[in-house]
Amino acid sequence: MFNKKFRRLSGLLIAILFAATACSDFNNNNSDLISEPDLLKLGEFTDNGITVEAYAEAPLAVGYNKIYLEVHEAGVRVDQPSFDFTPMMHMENHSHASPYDIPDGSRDDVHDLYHTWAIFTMPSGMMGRWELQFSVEGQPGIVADGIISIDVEDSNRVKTFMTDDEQRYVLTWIEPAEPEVGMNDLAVALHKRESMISFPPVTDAVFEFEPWMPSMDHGSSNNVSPAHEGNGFYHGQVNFNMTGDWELRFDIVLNGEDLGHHVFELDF
Amino acid sequence: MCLSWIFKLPKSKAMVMKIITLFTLLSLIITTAGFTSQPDTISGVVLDSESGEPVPGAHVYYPGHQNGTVTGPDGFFEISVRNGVNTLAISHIGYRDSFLDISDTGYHSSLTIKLHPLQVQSDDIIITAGRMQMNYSGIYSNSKTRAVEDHMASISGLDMVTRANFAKDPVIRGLRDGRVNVLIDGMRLTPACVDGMDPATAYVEADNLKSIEISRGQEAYPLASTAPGGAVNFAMAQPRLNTGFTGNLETGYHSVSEQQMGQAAFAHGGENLAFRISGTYRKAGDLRTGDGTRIVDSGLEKGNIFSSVLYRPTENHQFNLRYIGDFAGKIGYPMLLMDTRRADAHIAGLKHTWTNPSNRINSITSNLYINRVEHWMDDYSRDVTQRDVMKNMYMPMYGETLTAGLTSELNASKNSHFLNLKIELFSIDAFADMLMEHVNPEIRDMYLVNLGDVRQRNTSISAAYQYFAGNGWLLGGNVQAEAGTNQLSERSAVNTFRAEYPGLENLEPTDVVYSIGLSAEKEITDRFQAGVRISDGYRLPSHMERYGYYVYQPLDGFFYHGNPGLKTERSSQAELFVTFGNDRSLLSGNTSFWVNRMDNYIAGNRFDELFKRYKNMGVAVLTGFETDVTVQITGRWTGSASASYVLGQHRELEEPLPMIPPLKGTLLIQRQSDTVSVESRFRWAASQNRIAGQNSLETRTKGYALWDLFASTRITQNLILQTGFENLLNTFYTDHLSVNSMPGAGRNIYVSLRISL
Repeated sequence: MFNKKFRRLSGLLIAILFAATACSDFNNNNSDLISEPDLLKLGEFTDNGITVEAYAEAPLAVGYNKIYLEVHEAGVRVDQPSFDFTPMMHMENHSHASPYDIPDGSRDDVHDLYHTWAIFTMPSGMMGRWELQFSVEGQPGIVADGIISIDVEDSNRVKTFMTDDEQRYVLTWIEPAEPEVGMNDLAVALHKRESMISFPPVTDAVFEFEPWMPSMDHGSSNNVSPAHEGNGFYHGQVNFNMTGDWELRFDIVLNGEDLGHHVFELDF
Repeated sequence: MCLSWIFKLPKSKAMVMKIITLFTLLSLIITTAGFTSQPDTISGVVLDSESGEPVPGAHVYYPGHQNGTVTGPDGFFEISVRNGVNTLAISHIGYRDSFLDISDTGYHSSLTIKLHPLQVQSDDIIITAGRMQMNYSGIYSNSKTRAVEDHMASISGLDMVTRANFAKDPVIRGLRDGRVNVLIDGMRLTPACVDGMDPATAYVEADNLKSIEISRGQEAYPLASTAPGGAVNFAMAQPRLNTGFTGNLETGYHSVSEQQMGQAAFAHGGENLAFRISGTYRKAGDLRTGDGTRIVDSGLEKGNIFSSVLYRPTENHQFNLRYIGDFAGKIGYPMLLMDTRRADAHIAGLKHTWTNPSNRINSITSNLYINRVEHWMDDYSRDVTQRDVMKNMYMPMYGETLTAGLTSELNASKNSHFLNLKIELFSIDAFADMLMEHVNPEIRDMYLVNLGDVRQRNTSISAAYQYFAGNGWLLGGNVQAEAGTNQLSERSAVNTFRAEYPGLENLEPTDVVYSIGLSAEKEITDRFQAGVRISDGYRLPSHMERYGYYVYQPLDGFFYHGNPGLKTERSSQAELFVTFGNDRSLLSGNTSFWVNRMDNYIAGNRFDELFKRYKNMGVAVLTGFETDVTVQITGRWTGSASASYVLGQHRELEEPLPMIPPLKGTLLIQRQSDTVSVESRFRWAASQNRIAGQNSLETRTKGYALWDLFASTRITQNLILQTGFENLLNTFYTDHLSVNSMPGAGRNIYVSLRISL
């Protein structure tokens, strides 16, 4: 019964079956293969067979930055990983973090990548250097730990201040990213520095906002002071009636306590 | 004294008269056959013997008998035959009376009557206001180098806003800007400077003009429109046929501003083709006021070219192609924030007149035109570090407009009925922007758009009707409808208006407005007529009122924003007028009393300390009168006096309207002859204490009286010398309608020499 012909035939059959399953496995694997995103690559690390790559839409700067992540094993995307993430600045005498969010494992609509954000409160340079610290768990038990060193440019989008009772806050101006004449969405974020590494969002501040043109000595009308819309982010509207030098003037009150008057300058 | 409408239409011709004759013979046959019982009539046309143009408003009557008729806008008339009367009389101011023996004409009905002008003044600029040809046309009415405003300086009911020693904005019965239509030969022109520094008078020179026609209020004739204030039409001079080569040169000098002017014209009139080309140049230094000071940087320089071609291929058709090019260099506006750096205007139009296209239709005139204005202004010659508004900021500004349109007008008459139908289409495209450059180079330039590619398109139709009802009654009615669309295209302007008016859904509304009027006049005696006119209508908001952005108004020190959501503004008017005397009497003149109640009155509403926005602001009422009296002292000596008054009150703001002229007038004595003419004129104004003190920076002005003396000498047949002393007593004065109280000119000695070739 196991004559030569039968063996050859069954061998062929097995080969075909194997090829078929291998092909289907291959197809499955093809859909998990990553492709090079059209973004600026910040860096990557590999640990325990898992590679973590970080991207951004533009060079990182002081202020609110979206960070996109790809997690893969030898080119194959890792599904539904869980993340831990902290942006850290290492200075001469100490290190500290800044406001951030942890990726929730979902992929964003535009780039189809894992995503999170960080607010950098200072630029890289003589004062210190920034690192993105990650701990990513792919399959249960398989964890990749690593850091990606980054460069953060300076900008005027963040104000850190201390109140009289020595509470420290971080105020970030997020929108408009590219101001235009007319009505623009206005977005700011307010976080409190609880410790070197903990910057929880402030969710119940009240903002009063006024844009002003110092060289023209007037503002504009129909502005909407930012109101809280979740997670420490406040949204409003700003009307620029001409191009030029503008000041965004904010007065913040938190639970009856005056958090002061803060001004962001811009020109466009 | 006659009632007159000034419509200029070409003469009728033999063919037409043949048709009329045929028609009349036909109706004669019908009459004798007993089919109708119409009274026998004589009809015809009255023409100017010099120009061949029709004479509207000529009185046609039987001497010794009270009843008569008046020629219509096209010179046509019809009068019933009076048994036993053999003489027909025709008269009109400015012409010698004409008497026609009609004893053997029977029912002849194709009379052509030519009236001879009293003086050879075919070059004079004639001013007509309302339906009256003003008795005062000024001793320098034939000077081609005087600014256009000088010709309009003494017309009752008409005032002008002064911003500089140049180009004044007409104000009629206290209304101006979007409430008054200013036309150049029936063509609309849109000023390009958002600060009002280039009214239409900036682009017209006296050399371009034949006449200035003024409508006061919502009159039907001669310039029907929905503008509540009325209209000013600068009618352009046409070349004459059959004149051969002609030309003239004029040079003038005004001492008060060291202004030199020169004008040259060259024309040729052939059998059916004529052209005229002319140029004017003026250059002035700083203006000296009555207290001897010179207003620094009030000088100007500009040139103007005017060309007109007339082509008459057949007797019924006439084409007139005209072009004005006006080029101004620096014009100083020391009372405003900026000076004009350069202003260019190109105005072109083709007019076609079809005379007697059919029986009953006397003419159809069409006018196709396009004009473009560009205006640059800046404050680089100013010390911006010292001023309060826009301190430390240079702000060069640019504006451009393109206006194009087509107007077509039909004049028809039958017996004593006169009908005028008009359709008009026009579009306005406007853009203006400004740059703000801080004196500190480290501060970034600021840029904004004042008019963001605004486009308005309008269509209007109007009908005006007049009827000589017999027993000296003249009844009239008019109706007009106008539709306008609006478009705002420039991106930042759209975003800006969306941000300024977040609740306003439609930034580009379409509006329809109407206006109607009725009038009734009665010839009570042959020296006294009285009448009443009422009208009601709405006007479309102007492009500046809708879409102007960040426009500074020195009158109240505010920056104005337009409001795309404005509603149309209403004006309801009533007028009572009286005309007395006639061209044969010692005393003649007219008086009008008028009331204008405006609703949804568009004005600036205070938004904060810096900005106002246009808004419909309730009721405003204006009322006033004009009066003109002429005394024919002797054959050569004439005296005349005029006065006008306007009272304006804004009910909602509970204060007077701003920029309302006070009681003012003119008093003059003239001696006119072929060789030497002299004139002594007083211009006076009462003080104006009714000011909009709460909502503007308007200040009171004191009254004043100025004395002018003029003389015009015809040295030879071809040489005229004009001299004058204006403000002879060197009075220091300020006209109330002078922005930021710029003082008036001090004593001016002027000389001009005119050579006709």
